[in-house]
Amino acid sequence: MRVLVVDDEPLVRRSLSRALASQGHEVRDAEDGPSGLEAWLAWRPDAVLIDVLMPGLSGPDVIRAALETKVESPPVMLLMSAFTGEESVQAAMTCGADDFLAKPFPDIFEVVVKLERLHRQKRSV
Amino acid sequence: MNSRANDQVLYWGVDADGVIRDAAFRAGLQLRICPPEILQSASSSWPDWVFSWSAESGTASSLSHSTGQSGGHSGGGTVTSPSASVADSSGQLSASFSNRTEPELRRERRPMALLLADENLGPLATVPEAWQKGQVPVAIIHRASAHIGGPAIAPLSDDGIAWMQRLRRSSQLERDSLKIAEFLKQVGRARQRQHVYEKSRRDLGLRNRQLADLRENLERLVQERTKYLAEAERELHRRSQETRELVRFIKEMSAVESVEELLQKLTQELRSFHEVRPPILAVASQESGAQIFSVRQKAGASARSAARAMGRGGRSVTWEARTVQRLWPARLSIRAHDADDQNYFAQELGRPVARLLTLPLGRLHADSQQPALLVLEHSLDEVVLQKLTHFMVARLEAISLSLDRVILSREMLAASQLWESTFDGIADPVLVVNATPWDSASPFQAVRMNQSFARHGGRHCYEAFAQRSEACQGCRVHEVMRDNQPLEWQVRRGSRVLKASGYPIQISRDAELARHGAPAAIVHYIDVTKNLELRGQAVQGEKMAAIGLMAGNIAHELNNPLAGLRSLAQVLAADARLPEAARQDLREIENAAERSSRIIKDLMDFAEMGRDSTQLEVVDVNLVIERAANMLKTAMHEFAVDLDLMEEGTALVRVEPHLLQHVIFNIINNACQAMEGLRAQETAEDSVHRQTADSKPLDSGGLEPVGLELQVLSRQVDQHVEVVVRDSGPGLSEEVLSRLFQPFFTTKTAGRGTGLGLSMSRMVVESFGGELRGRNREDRRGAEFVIRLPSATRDLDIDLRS
Repeated sequence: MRVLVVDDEPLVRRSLSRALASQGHEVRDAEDGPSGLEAWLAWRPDAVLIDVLMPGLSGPDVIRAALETKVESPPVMLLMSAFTGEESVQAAMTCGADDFLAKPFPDIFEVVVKLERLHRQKRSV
Repeated sequence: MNSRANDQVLYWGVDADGVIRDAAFRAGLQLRICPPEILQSASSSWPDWVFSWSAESGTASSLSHSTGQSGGHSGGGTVTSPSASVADSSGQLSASFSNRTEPELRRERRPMALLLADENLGPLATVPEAWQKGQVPVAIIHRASAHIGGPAIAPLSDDGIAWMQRLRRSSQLERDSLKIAEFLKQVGRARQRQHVYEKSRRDLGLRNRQLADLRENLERLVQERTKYLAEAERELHRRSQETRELVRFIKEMSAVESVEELLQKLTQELRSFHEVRPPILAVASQESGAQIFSVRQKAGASARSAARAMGRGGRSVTWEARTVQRLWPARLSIRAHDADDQNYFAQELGRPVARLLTLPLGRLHADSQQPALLVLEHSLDEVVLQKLTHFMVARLEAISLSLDRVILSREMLAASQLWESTFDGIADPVLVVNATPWDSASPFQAVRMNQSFARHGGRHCYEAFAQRSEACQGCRVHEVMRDNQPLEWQVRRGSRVLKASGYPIQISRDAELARHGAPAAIVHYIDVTKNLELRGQAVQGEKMAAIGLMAGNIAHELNNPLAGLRSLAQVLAADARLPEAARQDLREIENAAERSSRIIKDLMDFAEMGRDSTQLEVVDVNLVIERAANMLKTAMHEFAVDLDLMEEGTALVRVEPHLLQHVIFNIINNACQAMEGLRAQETAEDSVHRQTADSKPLDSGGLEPVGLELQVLSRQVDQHVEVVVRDSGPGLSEEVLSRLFQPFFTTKTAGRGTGLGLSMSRMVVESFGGELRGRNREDRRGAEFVIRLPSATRDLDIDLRS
């Protein structure tokens, strides 16, 4: 599947890209909200991995903005963040994302697995 | 042995008083005395008789051959001859008489002169004839006036006169008459002397009488004087005795140390006065109020027994003091049997009193307006009462001074004790620094320290107080004394910080002296270490809050690269194309990144907590414990857990429940991890050994694994609730104990702990006003952590109460 990684941290983009690619997925990344949104709307990925806290447009903002376009069958949307406090998570999830990933990832390949699972679930719906 | 006829003088007359004889001796003449009666009777033959008269025999001896025998004529008297020479010569004369012829004898025995007393001039008429023959001069002596006569008073015949004149003309006569004149002069002198002697004797008699009178007077005077001196000496002796006794009494008074002792001594002093009872003393002092001291009277005791007690020197009496209902008369006169006094003392002592002698002791020190009274009960007569009064008056000053001193020293002692107990009662250490001038070589000498301070020895305050050899840095006590100003400063003592407040003390009110600075200062030290710590902590807290606010952002900033690092390392490590060594290295990088992440996670947790922890509420701590324990079920199930919690609803504390839960979770987690490590060790060992060495008493039913147990309990201690977590792990070493709550200190192996847990936990607990402590268990091996929180009451209750 096509995965879009939006994160301001280069290492995160790189590692996620590598991991996903090693499992045969197509990956594109964006380094901030606006370019992420742009890539999203243009490329129409199957899954989006978006960092919550980004300077300027935050992850949830991007998701909301994208969802407003009312595209049919939106991608799997995963928010990632280091802030895992309940309130923070809940606040973030209100944008309509499918799941939340805590950073740092204990195992990056697990992320890939999760992403694939969610994609399958979503598609089956 | 010739008789010198030229030196012989014949005297016809009576020489009763020896004057003629004396004169003859002085004139160097030999004298023959012939009494007139013999002369008269021998007038007829007297010329011859003259030559033959012997003075010795005293009678005229005829020219016979007698050897000194008196021929004797009737009626002849004897004449004693005092003159030895006359006797001698007479003796010789008579001895040689017998051998001579008459004419020879006549020539030999011819006297130089013939003296006649004028009353014997009768026969003188015949003298010239006779003497003409013998040619012997005649002189006439006027007895009465010792006047050397010239011509005889009785008329001489012309021949006689011519003879006399002839006598005078001859040179031999001249010479002889000189001798006679001398003789007669001597007679005159002798007569004079006699006269003088008589007078002298009379005078002497008079003088003697006078002397006798004088002596008598003197004797009488001496007697009187002696008597007077004896009396004076007795008086002096008596006086000096009195003075000695008085001095002794004064010495005794100066040594008394209590009112009772003073009265005892006084009782002894008065023992010579029978009929006087032991004294009563009324005295008012600031410390004890107005009191009357008197002898404790046993029930039914009489005046006699009291007097007897006096007689025994008052040794067996005891004194009692009673507070008075009203004050005694304050008049300062010495008085006897005064009605006011009698009434007063009868009333106050509750018994009849005998006649009273009242001796005021004056006002004792300025504060008391009421004079002290010394009162003596007596049954003396007027005379002895006078003596007693004089006796007491001499002693009043000594008694008064002594009483004053006793009372003053009693009050001073009370004041001193009060000051001391106050001083010692101050919990903070207080030191009074010395009175040497501020510019002297050795200031800072400790003058007085209270108990709190006294745990340290040493002379200088910095020696005693701070164990230093020189003044503390920053000490300004010398400025305090120099400028006479209170000051504050800080000093350090070891790890404690102390705030010092120095106050100058003025010893005198002299403004002049005050300008030269204060001679001493009081320095009050307060340990502000905690305050500073708290303040520091507050500042720190604020800093932390600020950091907390930033932490979120910082954490995120750090987290991102770390997450990326970790993930990338993972990805790379998964690439089979890499050499094994490189893949290992990548795994290590991944681990390091993971550790870093965890630290940041803790930090962020803390930051989260800080933000949310403003809401405190009153909760039951047991509930919190249970919730925390629930989260650790997995970890805890491997050990024997002993949960001993207080009754529900009784252990109330005011906290942020989630935070406290986290803290308790933390501690229990630590306990489990500690024991886990131990358990891993011990499974290798013999279980028997474990049982005997570490096990609890067998009756408590040892379960597997014996010795590894976790105890969690809550309890009420004073106004606090305590949560205690005990494990039976390896316990805490010295090094660990000292760094237990340091941030980033951890005993856990890499990856298992970040070291933030306990430091954070402590901060959280302290923010609730509590304490978190960790130490080794006393009963066995293992650690014990205690969370101590102030007990709270439900808000509801508070509302009800207010």
